[in-house]
Amino acid sequence: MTHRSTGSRTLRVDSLARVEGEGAMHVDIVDGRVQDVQLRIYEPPRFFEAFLRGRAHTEPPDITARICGICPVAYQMSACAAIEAACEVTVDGPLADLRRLLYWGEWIESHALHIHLLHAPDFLGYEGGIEMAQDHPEEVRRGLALKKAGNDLVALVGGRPIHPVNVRVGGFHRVPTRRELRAFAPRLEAALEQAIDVVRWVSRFDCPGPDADWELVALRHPGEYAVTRGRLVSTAGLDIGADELLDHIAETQVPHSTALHAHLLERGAYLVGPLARFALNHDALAAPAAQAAAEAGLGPATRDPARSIVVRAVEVVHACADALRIIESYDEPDAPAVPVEPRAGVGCGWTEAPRGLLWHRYRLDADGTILEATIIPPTAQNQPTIEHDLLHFVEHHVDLPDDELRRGAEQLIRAYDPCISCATHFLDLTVRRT
Amino acid sequence: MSPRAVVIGVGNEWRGDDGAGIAAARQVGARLARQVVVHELDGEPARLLDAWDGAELAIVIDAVRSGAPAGSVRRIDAASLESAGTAGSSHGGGIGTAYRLGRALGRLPQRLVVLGIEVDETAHGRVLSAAATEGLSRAASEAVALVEVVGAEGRT
Repeated sequence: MTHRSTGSRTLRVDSLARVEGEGAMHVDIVDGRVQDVQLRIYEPPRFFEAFLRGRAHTEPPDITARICGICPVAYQMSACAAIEAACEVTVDGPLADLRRLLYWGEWIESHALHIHLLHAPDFLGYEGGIEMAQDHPEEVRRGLALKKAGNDLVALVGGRPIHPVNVRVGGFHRVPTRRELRAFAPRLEAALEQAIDVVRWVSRFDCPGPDADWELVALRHPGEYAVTRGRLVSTAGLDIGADELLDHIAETQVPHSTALHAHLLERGAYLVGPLARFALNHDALAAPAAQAAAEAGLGPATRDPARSIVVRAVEVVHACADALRIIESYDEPDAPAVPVEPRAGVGCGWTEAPRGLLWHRYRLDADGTILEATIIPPTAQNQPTIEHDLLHFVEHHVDLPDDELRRGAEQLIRAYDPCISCATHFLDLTVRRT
Repeated sequence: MSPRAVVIGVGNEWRGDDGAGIAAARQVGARLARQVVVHELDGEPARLLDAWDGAELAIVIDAVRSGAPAGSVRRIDAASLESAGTAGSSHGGGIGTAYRLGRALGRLPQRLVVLGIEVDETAHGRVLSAAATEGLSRAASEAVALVEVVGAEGRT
């Protein structure tokens, strides 16, 4: 919707389409110069950190899964990692492999949804996934089939396709049999082929966006495209453990958002998510994913947010390939979980949600009662970066008509795949020109 | 083999009357166990497409708020779904999005019926109001009648 009034020019979108959640954007332009860009996340705070206090140390995997219907596994995995760190328990072997397998299911379904129904329409000139499906039904069918394969993998390991019920601190309530996992392998083999085709499809999209020179931050672990463990590294030399995060990254409140803004204490805004992971871990991709990336012309120096659609597609290939490897080598563990006896202490844990780093910290009483909880989701970390990129975009396109400016800004935001429900919530776009 | 009739209860049974559609679908399943496949879903479009794929008859039962008296049941036709449930966010696609996506992809059932149970109590908890309980029973009976017609047609 566009409004014009004497002395000022206001452009407004009541709700940004094709993002996870709802919110608003406001742009002030004075004498042709951009004064301010705000990503306004206005939905009420959700108080998860507050109502985790007083709960048992066994409860966060189930409680925090409810933060998001797209990436509940990420919350479960980070919660387990943090609580197990507090209780000085290490989960490894087949249980760690099963966690990664469950996580790959979530990556596949989340990325397939974003690629096909949220992001691809921007490149092909459609209002949305439904309009695109009329002209590209095979691609959308393929995307939905991939999403279903991801959801079914989550259900196989996690008990159901969203908000899995089978995860517990220390492992699982029940582990799948070798036969159950083997029976799923043909689905993943088909998904792998589909995912390779998706890389070829999206690599042909025109990505005119400039490279943004952000500090890229992601987990890294030797020999793995890190998802469930590792140290946090960056393109500017950051290299820290989970319990050091608050020494390097701070969250601040801003008046225009119910989500906190995270920034590196010494260097400011940074970027987490697919572009960061690929830049820092491309050497650890499974062979089919590395080959698909090479064929797509994707290099580790890729910084254009729009190209993240190709990175997501490559990550789906990797997820399918590594999931197949896990299934191939799976031996049922002796027990579905290792004991996690409570102890007084603080534990920090992190994993790579589909949208980037997700950090949890818990302070426990001796009986396991949670005294404090802190959660830093990926979109809160990327929000300042998105604002900076929007400012840059609007500055360089300030002469565009309102509708085109709005469309470009929306597309830029979608490239980051923000999950506003996780960060808190989201988009109403206002541009004021005076 | 694709089922001839599917009944899909949509809602969140932890939010009071929002669980009316799921409860109604369960009633249909209990009465026609051999004739229908029952699904309980949250309304996410891709899962709706999977649930009704290939069915001769798909009945979706959901809680609605249209201003009508609580407990009343409304049959919503396909034309209404053209503009229903348009959501900016992927978190709220709903039946309207599923219908339009299914049509674009050729993944609609031969016949789609949506039954809306009018509700007004969607607080936290699993308690259904008296009005919603009456409404879901009516919706279940209507669904049973629709399925039996399909069954009768199949025998002739």
